[in-house]
Amino acid sequence: MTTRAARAGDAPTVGPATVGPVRPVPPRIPGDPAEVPGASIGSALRSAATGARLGWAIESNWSDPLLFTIYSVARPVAAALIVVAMVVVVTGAREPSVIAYFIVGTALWNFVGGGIVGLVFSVLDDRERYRMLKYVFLSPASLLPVLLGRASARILISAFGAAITLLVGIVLLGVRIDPTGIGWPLLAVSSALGFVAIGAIGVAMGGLCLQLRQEAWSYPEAVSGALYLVSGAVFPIDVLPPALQAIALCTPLTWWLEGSRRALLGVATPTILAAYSDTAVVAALAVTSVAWAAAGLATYSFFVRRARDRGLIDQLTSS
Amino acid sequence: MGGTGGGPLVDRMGRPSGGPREAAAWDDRRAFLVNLRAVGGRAYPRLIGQSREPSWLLFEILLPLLSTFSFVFVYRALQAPEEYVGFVVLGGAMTAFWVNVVWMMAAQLYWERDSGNLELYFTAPIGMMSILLGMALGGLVATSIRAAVVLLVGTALFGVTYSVSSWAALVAVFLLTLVALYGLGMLLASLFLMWGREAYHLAQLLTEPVYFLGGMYAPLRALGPLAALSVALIPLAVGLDAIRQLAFTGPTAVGVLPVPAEVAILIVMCIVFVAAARYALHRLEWMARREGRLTVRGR
Repeated sequence: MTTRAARAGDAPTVGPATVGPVRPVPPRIPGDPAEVPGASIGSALRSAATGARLGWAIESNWSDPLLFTIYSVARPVAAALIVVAMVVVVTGAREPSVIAYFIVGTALWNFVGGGIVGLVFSVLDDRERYRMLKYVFLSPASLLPVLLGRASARILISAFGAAITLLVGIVLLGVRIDPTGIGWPLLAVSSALGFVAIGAIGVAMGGLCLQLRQEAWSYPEAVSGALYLVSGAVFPIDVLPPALQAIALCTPLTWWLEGSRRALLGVATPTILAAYSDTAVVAALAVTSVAWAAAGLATYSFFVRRARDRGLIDQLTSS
Repeated sequence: MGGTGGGPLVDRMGRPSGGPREAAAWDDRRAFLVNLRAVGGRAYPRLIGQSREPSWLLFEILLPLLSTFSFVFVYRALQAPEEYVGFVVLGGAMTAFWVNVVWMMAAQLYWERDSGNLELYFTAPIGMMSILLGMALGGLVATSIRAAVVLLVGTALFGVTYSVSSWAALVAVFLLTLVALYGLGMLLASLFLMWGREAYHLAQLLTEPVYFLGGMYAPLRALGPLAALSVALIPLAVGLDAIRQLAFTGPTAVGVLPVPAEVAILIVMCIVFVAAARYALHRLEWMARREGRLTVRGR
């Protein structure tokens, strides 16, 4: 800790005129709640709430309401329609049960995009654009709750996009989702664990983007796109090569989508995933989510330490 | 705009001038050379930035490759004819250019304002098109590599076979598509700047909706009546439709319009977008000097 602080130029100085036994003063790492008197879960929650209010203001209040609404609706619906167009052009028909599989997958994927993009853009926006990140580090607030709060605004928009996509599927494409037939407990558990996993990926990416240039704007989309493949978001993982199938089974997003699909549609995805009971799906989701959350937090901590050590917190990288 | 709004510009003889270029009073040769250097100067940081931070190889090439492959597996799950896999690979390759146009060009002036560079561009005696061309060329290296990797790896991995009827026509359509795309990018750059804070939302609006309307992963004619709108407005849609017709044969490769008609549309788009971009950028410079608002950050 001392070495780290000294490298950051933040070590306390004790002058030669100091009289009497020198009591070592613990070095303070700005932004580290463990080093701030009074830092607590309550202050972390306040930071998250402030971050959420700020995030929502940036996302909505500072935008043109019409454009904001169009953007919130058009993008997720278009993402779903891409896949629907592929299905229609091949099968020549709109079989509701087939369409339902794709609609639910693309609707839920909004949360993945929103969660990862929200966390990464909070870092990049605050560093490169608003240039406030250094002040968050200098303040007693911890960065992580602020980032999670900022990202919650985008997750809320994603929820809106997911709902609109499902609505388009139900109203225009004949998808049948009966509210009385939804497995609400399974949906609630799957969603809670799935959001932990999404948050973990976003937090790790946010830490990574502290090291990168401004061009990292596009990186969350790239990560989300790659996970789209290995999670079987819009196709059963049976069609993947065996190596990718193994990766899919270790990915919490695969289990989250499967649990949510079972809860919403009442049917399991064919072949590989159908062999697992609902309980097994939830257990696999829990294990993989906890493992990914631990890995995500460790990655974030490593990258934040590295960014401090190398003076990357306030770098501007416009190119 | 603080830098240019302080007083009237004058040329070397002390006469009032319309802008920095007029004030410089360079002959055509010198003006051309300076603009050429501006293109190189703006491309330079992008090229150097990429060489100094190789993470883009993972995030801008490998991961988007996997994203494209997702759509291949959708067709595999649907047991679609193999031509559709080729459509996805071509669409995935062309997507790279669209992403570059939207994120690295259209939204860039807006971000340049935030980083404080925009007023330098307006005060320098160079054309904004040179700056935007430099951005395009600097980003084009990574974009071309990404497109080539998607095309080569996708073709090799999924055994896509092409039956190109005319390589010359294919290359010509591809180049026309690029000119139209980057012309549109220059036009959007000025519009994004004028429309204020919405650059991110506008850029987002131009991704998935354009992938859908542009027929990136499914034949354009699958969109029915919407296809006509796409062909009329989106250079990527009409270019990709023509490229698919030239690269594949058979009933699945039938486009919305015959190739000569789509080439004609592309030529019109090139002229209209480049001319409109030129007008919009001149207008932008004029507004920046006259109203002094465009370079105010946070708008």
